[in-house]
Amino acid sequence: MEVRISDNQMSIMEKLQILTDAAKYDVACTSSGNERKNTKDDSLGNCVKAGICHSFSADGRCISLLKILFTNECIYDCKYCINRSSNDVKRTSFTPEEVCYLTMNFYKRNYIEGLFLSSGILYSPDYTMELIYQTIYKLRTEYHFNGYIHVKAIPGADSRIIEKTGYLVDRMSVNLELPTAESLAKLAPHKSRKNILTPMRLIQNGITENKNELVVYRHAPSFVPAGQSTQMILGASGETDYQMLMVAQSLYQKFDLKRVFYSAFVKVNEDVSLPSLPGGPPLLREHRMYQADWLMRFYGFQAEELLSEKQQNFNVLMDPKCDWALRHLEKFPVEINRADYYTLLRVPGIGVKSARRIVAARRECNLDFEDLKRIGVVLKRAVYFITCNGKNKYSFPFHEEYIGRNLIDHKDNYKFSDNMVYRQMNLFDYGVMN
Amino acid sequence: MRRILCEDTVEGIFTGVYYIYLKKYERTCIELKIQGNNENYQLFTIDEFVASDVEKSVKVAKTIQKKFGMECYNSLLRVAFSVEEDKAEVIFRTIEFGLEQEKGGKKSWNLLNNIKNSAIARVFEINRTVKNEAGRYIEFIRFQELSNGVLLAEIEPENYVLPLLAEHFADRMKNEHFLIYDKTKGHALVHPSRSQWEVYQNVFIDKQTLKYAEWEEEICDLWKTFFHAIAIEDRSNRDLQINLLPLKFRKFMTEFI
Repeated sequence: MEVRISDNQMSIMEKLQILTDAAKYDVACTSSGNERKNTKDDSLGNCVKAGICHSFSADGRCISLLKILFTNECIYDCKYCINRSSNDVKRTSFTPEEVCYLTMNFYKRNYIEGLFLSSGILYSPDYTMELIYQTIYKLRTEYHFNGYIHVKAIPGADSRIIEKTGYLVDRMSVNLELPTAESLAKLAPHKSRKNILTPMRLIQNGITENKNELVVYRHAPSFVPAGQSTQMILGASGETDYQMLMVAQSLYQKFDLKRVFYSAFVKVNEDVSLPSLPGGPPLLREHRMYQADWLMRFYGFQAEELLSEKQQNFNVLMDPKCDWALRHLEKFPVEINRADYYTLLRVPGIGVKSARRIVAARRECNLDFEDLKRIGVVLKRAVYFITCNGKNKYSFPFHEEYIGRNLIDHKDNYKFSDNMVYRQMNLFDYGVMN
Repeated sequence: MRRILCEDTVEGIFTGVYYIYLKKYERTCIELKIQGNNENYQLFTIDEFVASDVEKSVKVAKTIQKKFGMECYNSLLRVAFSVEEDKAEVIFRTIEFGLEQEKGGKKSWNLLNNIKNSAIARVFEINRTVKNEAGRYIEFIRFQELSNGVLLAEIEPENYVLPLLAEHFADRMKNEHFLIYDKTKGHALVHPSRSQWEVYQNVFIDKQTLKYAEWEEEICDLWKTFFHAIAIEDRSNRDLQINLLPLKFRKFMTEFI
């Protein structure tokens, strides 16, 4: 297949500048999910299960992969996207060789963990997907690159091209872009819900089949071994946190996604259909979404527990777990030396690691607050919800408002005091009667 | 009171432990210590120096592996790689605790779970710092290509992390010649293409005298371009960047030079 590249004679430096700048709004930059040793003598690279971040950019986001677009030419006109066809920006394309050159040289110097290749739609989805495939094929076979590769599956591309690409990469993702079909129709007129979900389903089925195959043939080539992910833009359309979270949950359940990423909407285009964001991108909202996402994936929470029809948005002052715990004080306090793993996980201040350590350590000895501190439990939050050998660390009134006030950072305290309920103190509060 | 002084190596510490058991010293009034450069004598304390002995240290290592498992052994190794002053004592007390427990008929599921014991709590703590530092260097180390094709990286770690980096990079860059220079200790991890890595001691590398590959500068510039282009100005957050990538690591990082 002939690869058409823009006629302009740009240096690789200029291209990198333009195509990185065009790719930066994509969020997924993780290199996790796959463990692979470097088995061949002449190849370069391996994969580490937990992923490795190699640097952090000025916005504090991790740089793990070489995140670039193959081309920023695009036939689509999505309202929120900087590369939309109606925008007058400099357009350019890499050649497959250039992408390989950058990846190999960056990887060798330990700048990156691998390649994250996405692309604008050049001519047609099929044509673009084929370009991506050619590039990855070259990188894997000619350059013997064995590191992490994440590519975008282009919605609307032929399923055969997506499938053969899947055998070369570690992770694939299809962007959901917006949580509901209506907002998609409004902001991304050329994309449809069906078009996006088709390749997602295709990859899911491919992964399931491949897993069964690997059971029988251990050395069968693996298909998208690090799983697939997707991303949603937060705050570009009117959805509430509850709606977003429900969409995320159904994606995890119905499409077996490894990750759903959320990107706070950054306004790069002026358009009537886009909201104005006087306070900048909704970063706190994004943060809360990720916190809730973790609670769903690792802590056994359901979306319905965290938010509901009545409470549609996250608490600004408190993380979702504290918020949940405060609303369910009847489930606390939890006895550290006896509670099971899943109960421990629900205590604010106890994470997956510390819960595991607690369960392991109490086989040998009886734990007290001092030990918990060593284990890494955040006592600042946890003290209100736990007992060690039946005792609290301090005596304090076990009331929602008292605990709530103490859980919030001091600098935020004054905000909370507006709707504080004052109440006559009693002797129990001071522990005199205990 | 008796102080056993040993060399600051894994072999040194393990030989010290072996020696204490060999001499059947009363273990309640003994201290195993790394020999420092200017050791102060203490009143009523007898100092004894033990020279490292590979055979004896291997015996101790085997015992640890067999009785407490590989995970525990690796944790103790990492403690031995740290710069903490009390590391020898802590390792000795951990082994002692494990052996005593076994003698008493109680077998720990995992020795290091006995965090009530102060020595083990310390092992847990030191192990975590060393592991974290090694992890950080796996992330932030930067290689530069020399004119003869060797990839060279320079680091200034607090703890002795070279052996912890070795396996990771030796697998990843099997086909490359690379060298990681530990400036603090004056050690160098050398990995010739497709062969076994080794750590050399008393190395000094002067970066001024090195000749880099002719394309090295261009690639550094490309990386810097990428690094600056990937940041979103609207989300700029220097505090977060500093939290995640502390300044002390930036000294040798291409994008910050």
